[in-house]
Amino acid sequence: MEERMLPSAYSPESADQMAPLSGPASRWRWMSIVLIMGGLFFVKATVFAWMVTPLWDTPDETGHYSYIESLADGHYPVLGKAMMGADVTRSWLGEGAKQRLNWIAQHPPLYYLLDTPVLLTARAIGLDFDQQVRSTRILSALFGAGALIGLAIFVTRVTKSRELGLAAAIFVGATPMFLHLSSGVTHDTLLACLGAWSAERYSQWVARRDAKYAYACAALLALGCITKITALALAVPLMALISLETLRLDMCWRRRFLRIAALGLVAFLPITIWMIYNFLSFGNPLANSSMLGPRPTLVSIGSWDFMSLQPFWQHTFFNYVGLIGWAHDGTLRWLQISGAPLRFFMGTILLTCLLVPLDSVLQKWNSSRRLFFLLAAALALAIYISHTQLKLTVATWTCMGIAVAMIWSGAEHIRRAWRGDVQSLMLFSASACAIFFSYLYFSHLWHGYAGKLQASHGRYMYPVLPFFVLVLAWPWRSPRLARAGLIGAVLSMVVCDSYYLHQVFKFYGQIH
Amino acid sequence: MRTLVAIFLLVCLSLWVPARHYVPVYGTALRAPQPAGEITAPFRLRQLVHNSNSAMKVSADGEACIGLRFATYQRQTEGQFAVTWQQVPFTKRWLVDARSLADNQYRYFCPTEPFKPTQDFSIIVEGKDSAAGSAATVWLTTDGSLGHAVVNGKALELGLNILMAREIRMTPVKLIRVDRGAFLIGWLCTLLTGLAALSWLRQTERPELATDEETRAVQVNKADRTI
Repeated sequence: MEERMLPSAYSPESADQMAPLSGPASRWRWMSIVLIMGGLFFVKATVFAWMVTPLWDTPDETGHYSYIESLADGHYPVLGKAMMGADVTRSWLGEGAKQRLNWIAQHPPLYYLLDTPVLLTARAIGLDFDQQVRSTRILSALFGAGALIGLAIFVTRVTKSRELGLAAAIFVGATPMFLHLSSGVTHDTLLACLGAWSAERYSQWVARRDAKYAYACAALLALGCITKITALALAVPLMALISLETLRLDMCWRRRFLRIAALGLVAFLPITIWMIYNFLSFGNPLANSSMLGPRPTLVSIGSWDFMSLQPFWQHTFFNYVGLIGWAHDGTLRWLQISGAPLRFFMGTILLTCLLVPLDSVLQKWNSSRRLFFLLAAALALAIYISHTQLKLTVATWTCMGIAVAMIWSGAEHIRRAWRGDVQSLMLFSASACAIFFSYLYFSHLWHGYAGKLQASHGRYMYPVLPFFVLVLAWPWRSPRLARAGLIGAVLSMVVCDSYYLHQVFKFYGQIH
Repeated sequence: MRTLVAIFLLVCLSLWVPARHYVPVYGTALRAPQPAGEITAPFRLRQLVHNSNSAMKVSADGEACIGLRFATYQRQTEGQFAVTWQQVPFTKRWLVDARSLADNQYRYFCPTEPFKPTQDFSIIVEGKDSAAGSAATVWLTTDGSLGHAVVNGKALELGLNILMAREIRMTPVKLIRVDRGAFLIGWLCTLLTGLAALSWLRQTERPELATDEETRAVQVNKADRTI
């Protein structure tokens, strides 16, 4: 299993194209900075989990916590039968409120199994109910930090820029929504963590063609699928890419097919078992909470009309950056990011989208004055658009920019990827996975449209987030741009703090 | 490098500059919201606010303010309009730049000293020079707990979407107390992460020190050339 098997177009030199972490002694210094960054994020998210985020104010927190409670009490929650915990209902809706069905029982059990020992420990040491809930939030903070560390290593490995890896992780960690989710009971940060590390293992496999990395990637994807089924929309294209590349390896056909079959088994066996359980229990392998309520009357609408008449992508983007709160006292109460913090994040992402088609020019002009003028022009354009136009207009431009960047990057790298260039293969894979995932997400909500825009949540993109980040970070990889990117990322943390200070604390009623 | 660190520290410290915050106390719920119409001349909306709620008290800690929720119809609004507060015998008038309004957000008006927030007062919104098609509007609600509006002389069953708030100044001491020091800890994490990241830039600024083996190799090369 451990032998190096190369595709015919693959040269031994290319194996070193993405090996910056095995470079000089300074790698330990870099690694320690990444660990400090992850550690400090963990501290911040944990403090926010205990002292800032009110109970039940992250998405579906009552359901997630009730799932963990059921497991801690020795019951497996079955969709349609499982109820919210009595203490959860009391805390959430008030004394005497009727217990509701727990729709979160639709999810596979991995995250909840991992968090159950935390709850049992909290109970064993005599913490009260409020503290028990807050204890279980710590795991989300830990996975959030793990996701950022994985992302830093992944981006560094592919772009060969340590500054850029660090910048990407800091920028993602500074997104208010990422911090918000890391301070609540939710499986989204575990999904982000597994997504980041599976991308990192995939990049190792692409660079070294050592089977152990492909198996590790498959195993992480498998864990992602039994955390939340949306990870399947990443697992399918990524395993397809691994299989295609395996077919090009220099070994006999029988071994190639056996390898593909074994990888497929590792990646898809756990979720297949889960789907069989769903089929036997509910007659539908993809059973979800929609079966609990009356079937809505679907509205027939064309895909383009759906996108243009409903601000579907724009709201997905806003909600990716920040959608704080949920249902603290039983009624939905959200604070969607707006104002200067939103414009900062939109402007920064718009700028990086502008740079993707200019990549070859940027790398050629790395140390010339022309680079400065080009960057200044792109920056001025991004600032002009993001600060003079209405937020919906800016979001439209930003979403279109992201779409163009993904398509451009995929088209630009497909030929070199086929010839065996490892960085191009990574970029092509990233674009392909991001586009595939986005299409499925869009298609799912479009086909379920019942006249009202629903569930346009950017956090659903977390499994494939490292790939979006890689494509958008790629033009910044030259030393000067990477340094500028790191400075921008550091400033984004201050923007996040400012957003919490001026909007979120007030929204929570914590400023008196 | 030092300049960068200094700029970063200044940006971080800017969060501690005392800023005004509006803390909501009570108001009308936004039920079945309706826009009052474009605030162009001669638009005039008047509402007598029946204010028997005793929750709002003027204290040394914060000033009472009246928040009105405006809308821009999701477009760039232009021109000016006037908002007037009256509480016999006092009157105060503000000219609002429509360009500065954010869609569906509250704009606060603080009448300062003479305002007795536990007594009735009037609010008048009048159009000035905004043109139709680029004027803002103000939200009305079916929640009439704070009175009903009269728009262009016509009495409505709707009232302004009002939010009574206290204006407070967040001093550094108050900021430290937010959520038992949570903001302070979060801010320190930001500061340390930023400094750690910038320290990496400092590292890459300087050429890396050669290892002993590399130094020896260079010496051998030199020796070779000498010979």
